[in-house]
Amino acid sequence: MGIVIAHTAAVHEGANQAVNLGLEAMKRGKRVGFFLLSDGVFNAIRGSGDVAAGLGQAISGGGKVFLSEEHLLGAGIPGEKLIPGTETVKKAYEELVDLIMEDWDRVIIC
Amino acid sequence: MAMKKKILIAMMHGTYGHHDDCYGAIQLANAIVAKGGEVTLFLRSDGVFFAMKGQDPTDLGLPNNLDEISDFLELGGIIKVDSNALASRGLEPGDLIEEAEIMESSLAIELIEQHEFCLTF
Amino acid sequence: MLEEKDKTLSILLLRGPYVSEYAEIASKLALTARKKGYKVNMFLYLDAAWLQHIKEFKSFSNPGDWIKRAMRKGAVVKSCQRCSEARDLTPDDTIKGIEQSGLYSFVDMLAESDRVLTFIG
Repeated sequence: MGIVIAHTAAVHEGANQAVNLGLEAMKRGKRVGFFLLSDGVFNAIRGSGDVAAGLGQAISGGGKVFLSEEHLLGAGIPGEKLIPGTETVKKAYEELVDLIMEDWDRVIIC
Repeated sequence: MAMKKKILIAMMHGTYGHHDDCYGAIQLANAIVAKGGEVTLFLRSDGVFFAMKGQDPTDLGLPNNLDEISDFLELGGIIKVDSNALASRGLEPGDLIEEAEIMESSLAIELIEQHEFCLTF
Repeated sequence: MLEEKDKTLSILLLRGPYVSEYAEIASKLALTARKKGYKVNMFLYLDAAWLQHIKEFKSFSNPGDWIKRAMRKGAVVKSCQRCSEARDLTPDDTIKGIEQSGLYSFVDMLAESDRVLTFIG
């Protein structure tokens, strides 16, 4: 299952819910990937809130958290600020299409 | 083209203040069930307001969501409501139309897996 | 030479241009998926109907340009007729090749899809 997050939790509680959904899926043995792009990359700042904490928890449990490099650069977020274990993706749209079409069986966008 | 798929529509907006979002969601839901598809409306966040009973937007000049919901239910649609979202808005099951089924938030993942696609509104 | 794949991606866009990045994200995904050989459909629903109105050349990156690029690669783009009429978006005032059609068109897209994405914020 894949969860795409494109905004911050402050704008919409969907980001929080999406992460909780992913954690619940992992508890049930599902393989879960998160993909953060647009303003969603702000959720990858270490210590920034519940979404960041949940993403860290997901990584510890074996989940993947991908970050769009072009959006990280655009937002001016330095690498050392990021949650450890996140994977920065150079060609975000190429990777995301591959995940959506060939890897994930369900896609949730929030 | 006949529609045979099972679609979950997760609604996060349910008030007349975001009328186009919720009206657009139920219009799509009704189009899918009318063509033979199966649809579950999953009301989360502010989406729970969509199933309030006794809605009357006459003075707002807007069409009543309950009319669309009635068509949806008649065509076999299902409405599920996130229990946490309901409680955190000070609402109880009795505040909603009786066809709305209250569901534990933790079961959302099962609901997603039971459907082929999840469309978020 | 594009190697066509036997899988279809459909994208339901619900937000208008410029208000957020969603129109660009949806269009760039459509373009990338086409370049990889997937069949791609896009449906412009609710305020996303405005996207078809960005038809003239701009000296800056804009969502109208991205959607035209996706269409040139073979993405099929339709817009909701009712949403278009509600916004006075006439076919002669919109991007050529975007058909204004009823919601059942999107249901048909759903029926033939392997993956469906919705963009709303």
